[in-house]
Amino acid sequence: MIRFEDVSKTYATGVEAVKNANLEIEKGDFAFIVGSSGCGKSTMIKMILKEIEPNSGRIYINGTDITRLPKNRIPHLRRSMGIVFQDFRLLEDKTVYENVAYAMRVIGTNQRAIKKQVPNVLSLVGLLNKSKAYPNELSGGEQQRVAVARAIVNNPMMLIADEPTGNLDPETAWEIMSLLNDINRRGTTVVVATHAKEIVDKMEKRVIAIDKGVIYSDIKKGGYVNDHRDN
Amino acid sequence: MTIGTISYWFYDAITSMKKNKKNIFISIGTMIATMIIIAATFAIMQNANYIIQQQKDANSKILAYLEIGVSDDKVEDIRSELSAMEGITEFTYASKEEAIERAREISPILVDGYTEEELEILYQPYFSITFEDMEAEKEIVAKLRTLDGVGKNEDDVIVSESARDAIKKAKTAQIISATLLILIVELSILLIMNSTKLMLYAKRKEISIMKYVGATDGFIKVPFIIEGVIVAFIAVLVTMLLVSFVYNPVSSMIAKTTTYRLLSSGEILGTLTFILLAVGAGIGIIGSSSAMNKYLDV
Repeated sequence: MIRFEDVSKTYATGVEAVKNANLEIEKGDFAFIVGSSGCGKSTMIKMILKEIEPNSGRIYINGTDITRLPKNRIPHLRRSMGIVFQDFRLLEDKTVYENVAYAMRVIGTNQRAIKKQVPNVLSLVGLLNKSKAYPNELSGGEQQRVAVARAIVNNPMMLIADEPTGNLDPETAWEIMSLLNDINRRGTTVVVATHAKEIVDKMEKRVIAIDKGVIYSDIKKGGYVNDHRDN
Repeated sequence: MTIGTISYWFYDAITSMKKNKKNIFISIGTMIATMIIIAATFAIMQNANYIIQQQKDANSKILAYLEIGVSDDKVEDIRSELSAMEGITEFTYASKEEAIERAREISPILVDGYTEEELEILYQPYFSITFEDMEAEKEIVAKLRTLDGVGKNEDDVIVSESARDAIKKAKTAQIISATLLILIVELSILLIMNSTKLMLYAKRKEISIMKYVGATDGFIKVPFIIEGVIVAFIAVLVTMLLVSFVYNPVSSMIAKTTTYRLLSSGEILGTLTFILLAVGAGIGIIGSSSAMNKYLDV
């Protein structure tokens, strides 16, 4: 589903964010990418989203080498995945319903299907009663639930989350993680970049640890890896 | 592209306009201000051209000097030729005596001290011919030169200097008006582009979110373009209403206080509507579209 082959990324500033990363995430996996701030996990997510390009190596999504994907195909790549960010990134002037429906409109879904699917997804994230509210009328946890609803409304094969609990209190963070776990159980591949140790430990999922741009540990079922290569 | 998508774009554009009333008012205000400047420049320049044209036509004179000692019969023949000639509004004949008299009226130095014989050589009888428009000038001059009794020297048939001067003025006015109009339209485009850029800058986050959700550039652009075109059309409409209300009282005031006749509001508004619509739609479509490209690269 997601494959990194010898991927390296060095920013114009000279910072080597990812060094020779090799990685394979299978369909139906739930994988955490962990590491401290600036370790390179967000760079990996950005490369998956094709927001930035690697300097070398290949990245395959569903068998397609996205490093060779033309610019006009990027929207189609992103439609194959749901994306959740730390800062929610909701459209402020649209209601909860419209924010979720927007993801369906961009792929040309008809109105009838939108009217059917959006309430279903809002119900799944427990926000059906807030469908007419605007993002600034919601708590952080609720906003992140809307973002998750938007990410899954088109039934993507994978869900990519970059620090989804970074702006949330521990209780709400756990609720969001449980939601992601439910989504994974329904068959969606979930990749979460985080440094929330407690959650990672509790979830007991696959943990890919990265430090200074190097993947130094990949455990099928484990907790947050504190051991650095030099320890 | 489905009907649902198109109607969504319109719904989205109108909803966004309602929610961003302040920015929309600023955009419409900027557009109206610049469009009024365009309209005023256009009206002034069109009228300046029109006034110069009037003067040019009034001064369009050809002087055709006759040969020394031309007979009265030949003068009559030329007179009937001129009457039959197309493009001539009117003509007057000045005999040798009248020519000398007119020269004296201008300045006695031109006549005094010369002998009869010398005066005969210096002042020939002539026809003063007024013609319809400058386009006909060359043809009339060429015909006059072929007439029997009309002098065959280069300076025997001349176009009055005031007419040539008027042509020069008209051409200069046309160049200045065209240049000024282009500059003002350019300035307006820049001003409106800037206000569009500011509006889009405020929406850059929204645009990047749309990109992450998988929206194509086209899908994101269309509602903004619709918004831009609606803003432009509102601005054109308001400007045209203002111009039509203001133009007539101002032009009749100028007509009362000066000798100038101005173009009617109908003559001005027709072309002006076309120019403003082109500028408005151009800015609405090209302006918002090109200003957006910067924020679409996510």
